[in-house]
Amino acid sequence: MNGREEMLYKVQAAEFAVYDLLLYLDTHPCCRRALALFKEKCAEAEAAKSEFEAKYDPLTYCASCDKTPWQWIKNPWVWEKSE
Amino acid sequence: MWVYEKKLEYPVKIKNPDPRMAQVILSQYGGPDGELSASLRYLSQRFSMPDAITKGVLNDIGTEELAHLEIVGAIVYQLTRNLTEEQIKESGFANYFVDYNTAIYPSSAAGVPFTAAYLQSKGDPITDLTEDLAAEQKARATYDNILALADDPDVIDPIRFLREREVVHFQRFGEALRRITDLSAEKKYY
Repeated sequence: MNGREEMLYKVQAAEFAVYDLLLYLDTHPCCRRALALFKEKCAEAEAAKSEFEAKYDPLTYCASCDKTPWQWIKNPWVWEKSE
Repeated sequence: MWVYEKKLEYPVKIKNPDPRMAQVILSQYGGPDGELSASLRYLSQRFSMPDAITKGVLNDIGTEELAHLEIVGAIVYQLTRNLTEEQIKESGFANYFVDYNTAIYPSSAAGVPFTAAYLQSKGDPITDLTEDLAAEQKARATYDNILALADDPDVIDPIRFLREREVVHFQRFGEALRRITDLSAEKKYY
């Protein structure tokens, strides 16, 4: 794994935890433990995303507003390998 | 609405082309138990659901299925890069290639184009959730069949992730169905 992939993997891992907890909370809306873990993982995912976007490419288009040429359309797209 | 994030839910990085595997895995893109039929099924059924839990589960699992559609597309794309003429002819990929080249077209492994007949949206929550439980098992079984045919660890790894998600979705749909069953004992809804 290169540096970009490694940092993206951190985002993917944190956001996966968020999504899995999201589904769990949908059917367990009163579970405080899951909610606390969800909050923790959301913060972790946000931090990992900001770190990745500061160093590499925008993950969402609003993170693409500081530079021309327009960074959003820059390769690689998600189905492409990054090297 | 949906907001796009420029990343896959799970990484896909395949080094070696394999058009035979690509054609098999394409079934989970546009085949009968694939991710396109899963996402359309759940995102359509959610409108007529009576309770918040089931609306939430269908909305959020349907959304995750769109991410899985993208992962399957990425796997097929990467498996069909830089093919040689021999690879196309000898792998059985020629029949797909003649119509679609190496584009991603939603069809089954046997070449049947995607159809909405693969899914139902019945307006009855018990009927719909029971279909969804079966759909998750059918998708899981299809991933098991793919794993039986796969030997490249680069392919096996994301396929195992997708298979595992079917198991989790089955669990969540089971919880939603129990909730609906309890509710239906209390009152009538249409």
